[in-house]
Amino acid sequence: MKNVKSSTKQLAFYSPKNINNARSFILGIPITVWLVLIVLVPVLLMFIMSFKQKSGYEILNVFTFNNYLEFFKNETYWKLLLKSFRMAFIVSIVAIISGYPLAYFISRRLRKFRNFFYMLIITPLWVSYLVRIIAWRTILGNRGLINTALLNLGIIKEPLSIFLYNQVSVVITLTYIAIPFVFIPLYTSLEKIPNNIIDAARDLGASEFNTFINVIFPLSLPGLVTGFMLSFIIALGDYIIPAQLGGNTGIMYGNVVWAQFGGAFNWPFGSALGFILFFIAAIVLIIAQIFGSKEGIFVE
Amino acid sequence: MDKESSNFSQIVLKNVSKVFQDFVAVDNINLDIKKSEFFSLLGPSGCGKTTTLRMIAGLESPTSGKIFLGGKDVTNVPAYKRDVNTVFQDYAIFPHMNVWDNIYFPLKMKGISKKEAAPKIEKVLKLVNMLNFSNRYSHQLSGGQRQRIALARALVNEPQALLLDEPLGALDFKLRVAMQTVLKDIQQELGITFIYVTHDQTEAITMSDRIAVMRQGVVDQIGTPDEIYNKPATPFVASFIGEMNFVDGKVVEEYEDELKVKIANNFIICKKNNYLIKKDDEVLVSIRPEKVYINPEQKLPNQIYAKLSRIVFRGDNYQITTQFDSSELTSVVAAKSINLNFNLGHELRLGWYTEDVQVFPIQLKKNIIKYK
Ligand SMILES: Nc1ncnc2c1ncn2[C@@H]1O[C@H](COP(=O)(O)OP(=O)(O)OP(=O)(O)O)[C@@H](O)[C@H]1O
Ligand SMILES: [Mg+2]
Repeated sequence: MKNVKSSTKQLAFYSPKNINNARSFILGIPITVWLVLIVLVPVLLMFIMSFKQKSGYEILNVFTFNNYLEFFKNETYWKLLLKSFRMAFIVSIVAIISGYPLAYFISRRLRKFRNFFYMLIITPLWVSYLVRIIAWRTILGNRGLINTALLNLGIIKEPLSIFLYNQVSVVITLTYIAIPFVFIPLYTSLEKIPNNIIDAARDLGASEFNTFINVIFPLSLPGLVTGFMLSFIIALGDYIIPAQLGGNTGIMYGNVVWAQFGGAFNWPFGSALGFILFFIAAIVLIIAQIFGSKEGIFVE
Repeated sequence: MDKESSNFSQIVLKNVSKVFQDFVAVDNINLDIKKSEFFSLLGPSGCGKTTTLRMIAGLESPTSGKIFLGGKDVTNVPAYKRDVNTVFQDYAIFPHMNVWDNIYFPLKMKGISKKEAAPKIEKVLKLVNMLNFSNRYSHQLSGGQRQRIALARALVNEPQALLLDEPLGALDFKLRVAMQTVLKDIQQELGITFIYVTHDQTEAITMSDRIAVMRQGVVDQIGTPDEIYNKPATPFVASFIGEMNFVDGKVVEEYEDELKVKIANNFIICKKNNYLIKKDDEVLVSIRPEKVYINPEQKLPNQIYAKLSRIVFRGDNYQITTQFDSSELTSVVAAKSINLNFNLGHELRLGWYTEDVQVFPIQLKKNIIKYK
């Protein structure tokens, strides 16, 4: 018995499993290099920059915490950051609430034209970002679609300005931008659920509703978390939509960061602001990731 | 099993058909499955076994016909309200729940609290010998273990009938044989009606009380394993189950309940059956290899002479092939019971009893299954 065991151990060294390990290690090298170059290096450069000091139009090679202190001293910055978090959160929630039924219906209910509808929902991604933003201006504006419709219906006498240049218009447009990014992972995780799992639930006494609550929804959680994270990142860092549609009240943290690199020409401070955002966002995403992938789903 | 309850019809299918688009998957079948019966649906791949099972479960609705469960018409009752549970071919264990929660699921759907459920769950876990696995997830179980959990989950509600769709198909041979015993024991212990789908004839023969043999959406024969094996109703059934010799022949004489059939240059006697076969009809004659005796000591009712053409040793028996004119007959004899000092080409005397031969109209020859 003992001999058999030890010999299988020796054999195991040459087994396909080990070859696979080596293989995946080698295959992993390009990805790692790519990650380091594209992700880590810029962040590191930004991190270094955030400890320097601006003086006139020059950046002094000193080491200082002033940029970070400035953020905590000046409440406009961290209040704006909180507000941006709140907006990004609302955007992600709304995007999921509107994207989920869509993904559910198309992936699990539709028998025909599934690919057609899938493409239909992600086609906005093929259209330029700016064009889509401008399109929303024409929908929400004074002479926009909504006002014209309401005027023509006689519901209002004067065009309403509540639709544009505020937080609401920013949230609406960000949500619109985020929906495909929520839809894709949701659709993928819903479509992946094997039919016989659903059949088993029905067979074991679960009504349509109970099947959804107890089986479909939990199994779609990884997709939901991924969608939430994507949407959250997109919304949190955006500065174009607040700039175009936000007016005074719709301004977001991204605009301030952007301003430091543009008009203010204070790269060190901009870097510090950027790194703070990066750091907090990373923590949020890690928490979401841990929560979302608690149970390995479909390991086989 | 007491006599009275075993006559109660648990599941009845009346003229049930299922058409997918324009493909007839199940064609007007009738089944009457008794309480506590181990009933198998046996047939080759694609013959409509799963579809039939799914219609009983309520996961598919019949295109026409009616389904009765415990005497009630359930044709339009949705799956979740039917008192039958299924063990799916690939087990369909919920991947996001551990074993305990998987088995709790059907109880939870009935509104039973965890506390109340605990002893029931323990009982079925014990039944399938998986007590120590409550905290495992599906991906931490072997195929055989998953199978047991799927079984426990389907049994915990004590349904009127358990539907099993090739539950052992994915297991290796030894485990399959072991699980056959487990299943049969559980069925006898609980007295629950089992409807068992399989394409494995040995499995069906060894486990079932009765078998329905299906072919392309129709049921060719329903009967006990003994009837199915020894009195196959069609050439299809005869060829699908066990080994079988088929020989073409022609009826030359018709008696009161027997037929005289000419095969090649020999005359044999067959018993009449339900088919309308008359004098001068072309027929197909079938006989099991183990019913063909070689050089029998006494003279049997049917005898022919044939030349030995092949001997194959198969462990516990020999398969002996003989040739007469253009026909071939194989026979199987126990390895130790015969003295095989023959050369190939040696002439042997083959004999068999009249009741061991089946005779069919030649038109049914096309339904013979050949695995080659
Ligand atoms: N949803 C469906 N749509 C169209 N055709 C179907 C559908 N389900 C089954 N069929 C067809 O019906 C026939 C019977 O299928 P079924 O699954 O009942 O066979 P089976 O006897 O269980 O076979 P196997 O032993 O391979 O599981 C097959 O030819 C199959 O292609
Ligand atoms: Mg099947």
